[in-house]
Formats: sequence, structure tokens, C-alpha cells
Amino acid sequence: METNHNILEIKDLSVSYTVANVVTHVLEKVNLTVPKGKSIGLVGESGCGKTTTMRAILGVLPSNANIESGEILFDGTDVLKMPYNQLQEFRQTGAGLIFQDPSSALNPVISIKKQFLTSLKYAHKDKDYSSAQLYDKAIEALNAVSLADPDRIMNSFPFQLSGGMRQRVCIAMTLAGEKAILLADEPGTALDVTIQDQILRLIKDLVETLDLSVIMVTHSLGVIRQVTTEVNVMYAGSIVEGGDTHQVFEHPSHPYTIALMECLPKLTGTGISEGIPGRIPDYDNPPAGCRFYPRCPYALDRCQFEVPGKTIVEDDHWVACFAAEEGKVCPK
Amino acid sequence: MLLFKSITRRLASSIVVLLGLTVVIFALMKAVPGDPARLALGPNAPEEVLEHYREVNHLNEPLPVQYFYWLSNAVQGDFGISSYTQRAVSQDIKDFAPATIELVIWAGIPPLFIALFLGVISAQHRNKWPDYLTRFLGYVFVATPTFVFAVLFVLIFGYWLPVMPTIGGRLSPQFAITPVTGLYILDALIGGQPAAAWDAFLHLLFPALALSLGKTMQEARITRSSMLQNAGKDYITMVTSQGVPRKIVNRQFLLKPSVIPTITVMGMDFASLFGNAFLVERIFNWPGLSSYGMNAILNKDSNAVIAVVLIIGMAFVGTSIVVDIVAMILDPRMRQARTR
Repeated sequence: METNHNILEIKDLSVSYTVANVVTHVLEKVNLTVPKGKSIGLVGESGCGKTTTMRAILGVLPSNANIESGEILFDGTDVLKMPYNQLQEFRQTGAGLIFQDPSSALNPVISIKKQFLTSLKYAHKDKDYSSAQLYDKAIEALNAVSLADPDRIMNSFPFQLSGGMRQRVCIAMTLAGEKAILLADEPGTALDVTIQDQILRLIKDLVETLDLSVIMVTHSLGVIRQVTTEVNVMYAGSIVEGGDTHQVFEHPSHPYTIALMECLPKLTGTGISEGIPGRIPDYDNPPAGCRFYPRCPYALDRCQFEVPGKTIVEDDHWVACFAAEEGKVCPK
Repeated sequence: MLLFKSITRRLASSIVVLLGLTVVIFALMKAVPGDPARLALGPNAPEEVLEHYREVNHLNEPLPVQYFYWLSNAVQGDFGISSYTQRAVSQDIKDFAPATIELVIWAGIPPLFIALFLGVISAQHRNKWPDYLTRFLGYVFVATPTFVFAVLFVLIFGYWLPVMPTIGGRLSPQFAITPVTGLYILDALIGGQPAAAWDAFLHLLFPALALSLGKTMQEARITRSSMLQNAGKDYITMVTSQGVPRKIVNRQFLLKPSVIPTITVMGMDFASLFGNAFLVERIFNWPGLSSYGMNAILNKDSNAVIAVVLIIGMAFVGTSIVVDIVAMILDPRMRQARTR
């Protein structure tokens, strides 16, 4: 196997939503590459398009979303152009999504057992497992996410479980599917730190043992640092900086990334950080140039009208920012 | 076991509801102007006879005492004498109720399945012709009063295309059915008379259709909108994203949460038919409880009115218990809530 094989490549993906006849351009030319066996991070404020990107990969965007342009290549085949059967196969074995909201991702009137076994039945369709084997797999996965008494959980309905338990059930369900790519949309937001830690470690282990690839979506830079080898910083529907996690953390170059890092609470810090002034722009009328322009402390005149291209910062690290290109961004 | 517990609880609370209902309707009937003795005995009855009637029927006692006389008789199945038919009200009810029960069952249960089917079809073909068709028919059928359908059916199927027995009633005179349950189609089948069963069915079909068309389309629209609403929920997106085939998603994951509101609405529709069927019963000459109750009201026949209202109240309570049981079977959250 070639070393630089990319299992998933998103090219210039633009997605808009139509809400009450207003078109909102949420994703603007998103590019994302997932090398096989690597975990990459996608970080950004809530509302910046992370979840939309994840849903677009599996073809489960809401019905008012339109994919305007772009490609999503899985092993070289465009997911967006796949016929139904091939798309189903991709969903069954190609990529699995861990949903962000544990309270709504499980069907309220169907037992966990039925939901779990149905999902595993299709994920392992070609392996000819008996239902007892599938059940064992489910129990094993529930054990792996440290849920006590997995048999009881299997026979429960979602409303009988706590939020954290439901989220772990969802995580276990997706992990037990053993799909090629794991799309983890803020896993662990409802979990306490120790369990979250454990789950991140579990995902890390899976990457190593099963040669799994992961897209870790989060707004927590700490998680990114812990789990990923590459990071993409997303702002208002575009990726503004990306590259090797270590390099990006060492030399954050986009004003937004820098601001994000300053927001990180430090154990040695003295107070609460100031946050980033302003808010994500309206998507129905985004700024013509750089979308961060209205909030950017380093903004140049041209930022208002032109969209910055990629500038190489280091060998495996790029940024899309005119100020950085001109060397005018200086982190504290 | 959980079901059993919650059913007994519901039954106990429904007795209280029914008692309250009798108090209200009893008070209302007594508040209506007019002398019950005079109504029962006619304008020419002499004063001594009227006084004797009042004495025998406790009409000179205070209202609460009258109520308790009535109640102690009612629990033994004695609702007094109807001043209109001059028979025991309990006998009248025994004669008229099965006709309405049969009508309501046919106007309530098969249409539910038709409604679910149409709702699913129009949700799956959202904004395509099956959806537009059911929407259009929905508006027309919901807006049309049941008696208009009844008159149209008599005209179309009784006169232009004579498939329906025009005399009305429950059965053509050449057939005789030994009553077992009081439901003619069932009784005819039990008695081994398929021809009579078919005849009873033809008598029943058009009144049942007239009663149910509007409600069927309304229930279909409710099913459609709840399916579409649930189709956008995360838990459906989740199974879809797992590559579960669309058919299985729809049948096993989407339908179940979506039919619960329809079943609840249908339960209320079903119970209200008992009281609202009188126009259709009139037009089709259907000897039912609903038109009996209407006659009783028009003739200030208080014993009959109270009994009919009580029966309709019992039908409401009974159907709501059945609907709750079905909802509890479908929705595990309801089981929990009831037993807490």
C-alpha cells in the first residue's frame, strides 16, 4: 500500500441552505483530506459548518440543503455521484458518523437492542455473522465505552438512559460498525472529562489497531492536540488554516486560530479569557472578501473585497490570510 | 403487568368521570322547563293522576334525593320509563345501541388503516401527484358535512346506480337473523347466512362511508405531517447514515413513532361518532342510538336523554382506555409515565 494514500478527499465543497426562500451559503469551497490510518481534526466555533460537512459526506443533509459544487472522493470515487446501492455500501462500510446530540440520535420508541443490531447487521453485511455474534459484538462495544451492565442497556429504551449513557451507546454503535472512516462530531460533549478521555483513547487505539481513519470534529483545541496528527481550522464555512497539528499549534498563523488559542483556559492562567469579539457573519449575506474580516484585528483593506488564497507557512502548514502572507500577523 | 395496573387505575378514575357526567346531565334535564308528569301523561290528564305520577316517581322530593333514587336504580340497569316510547329505557337501549355500535365500528376501524396507508403514501410522495390528490380530497371531504355525503350516496347509489338498498334500515325484509351479538354482519356469519351478511354489509356500507370520509382524510393528513416531521429527526438520519435500506427505515423506524398521534386523534373521532351519527342515521333510516337520543331530546324525555348521554360517555371513556393501551404498546415512554 502506498504511504500517501488518501481515503477521503473533499474538494471545493460548497453547500447552501434555503430557509424561507433565503439562500444561505454555509460551506464555501471546503477542502479536506483524510490520509488512510490518520486522524485529522476539524475545529471551529459552533455554527461554522462542521456538522454540515460531516452530513454531506454521508449524503444525509437536511432536505433544504443543496450541494452547489464540489466532490467528495472516497477511495477515488465521488460519493455525491454514487448510485443508491453504492452509496448504501459506502454508508454501511465506508464511513460512520457519531452524532453530536445524544438525546435525539436514538429512536425514542425502539429498544437499544433493535437499533444496535440493525445497524451492525448492515455494517457487517458481508461477514455473515449470526445474530448471536452480532449481539456479542454489541456487548463488547458497550463494554469498551465503559457502560456497566451492557445486557440491561441493550434491553432499555433511550428514555431510560442518561444523556451520557446515550452518547456512549451511539459511540459504541458507530465503533462496532468498524467502518473505514470514523466521523466523530463532537464526541463526548455530554460526558465527564474522565469518560471523554477514555473514549478519545479508545478512538486512538482503534486508529492504530484497525488502521481506521478519523475526522475529529470539535470546538476543543485540547481534544485536537490529544488525538489528531493534522488539523483544519474552520471559520464561517471555509477552512482558513491547516496542516500538521504540531506545527499549527507552534505557529498559529491565521488571526482566527490565534484568537481561538488565546481563548483556551490555561491551568496556570489568572482569569477568564476575553473571547473573540463579534460573531460569525450572516450566511445569507456573507462578507465579499475574507469572512473573518469584520472581526479581524489585523485586517487589511483588500481583505474586505478579496478572498485570500493558500499561503505556505511551513512544509506541512498553510494559511489563507493576506495579513499572514505579508507577515503582519504576530501572535503574542 | 404494568398494563394491567394502569388499566385498573384508568377504570377507577373513569367511574368518577361518569358519575360527574350523570350529575351534570341530571341537573341540566331538571332545569329544562316543563312538567315531566304532564309530558308523560299528556295534556288531558287530571290533576290527581299527575300528582300520583309525581309521587311514584319521587318528583316532589328535592333534587339530590331524586338523583340518588335515579342512581340506585341506574346501577341496577333500570333507567326508568321513556315518556316518548312508553317502554323501559334500558330495553330501548338494548334495541338501538347495537345498530350504532356496528355502524361506528365500521366507520371507525377500517378507515383508520386506510388513513394510515394514504398518509404513508402521501408522505413518501411528498409534493407529487399522490400527495396533491390526497390533499385535495382531504380539503373537500373534511369541508363536506356528513349528511351531504349521505344524501349524495342515496341519490347516486340508491337511484342512479342502484346498488344500495334504498329503503334503508339494517337488513332487507326477506332476511331474518337470530341476534347473538346484535352486530348483524357478525350474527349472520355465525348463523351461517352469507347472503344475509352481504345484505347487511350493503346496508351498512354507505352510512359508514358517509360518516368516515372526512375523518379518514383528516387522519391521513395527520399521519403524513407526523411522518414528514419525524423523517427529519436525527434518529432517522442516523439509521439512514448507517446504510439501512430506505424501506426498512420507513417501516421499522419511522412508521412507529409517526402513527401515535393518528391513533390518539382517531380514538376521539371514534367516540364522537356515537353522538354525532344522528343525521346519517336519519337519512339512512338506521335504527340507532344516536337518532333515538335526538328524539328523546326533542320530546324532553329526560330518562332517555340521561341514559343516552351516559352511554355515550361510557363509549368515550372506553375508547380512550383502548387508545391509551394501544399507545402504551407502541410508545414505551407512555408505559413508564402511567405506572409512576
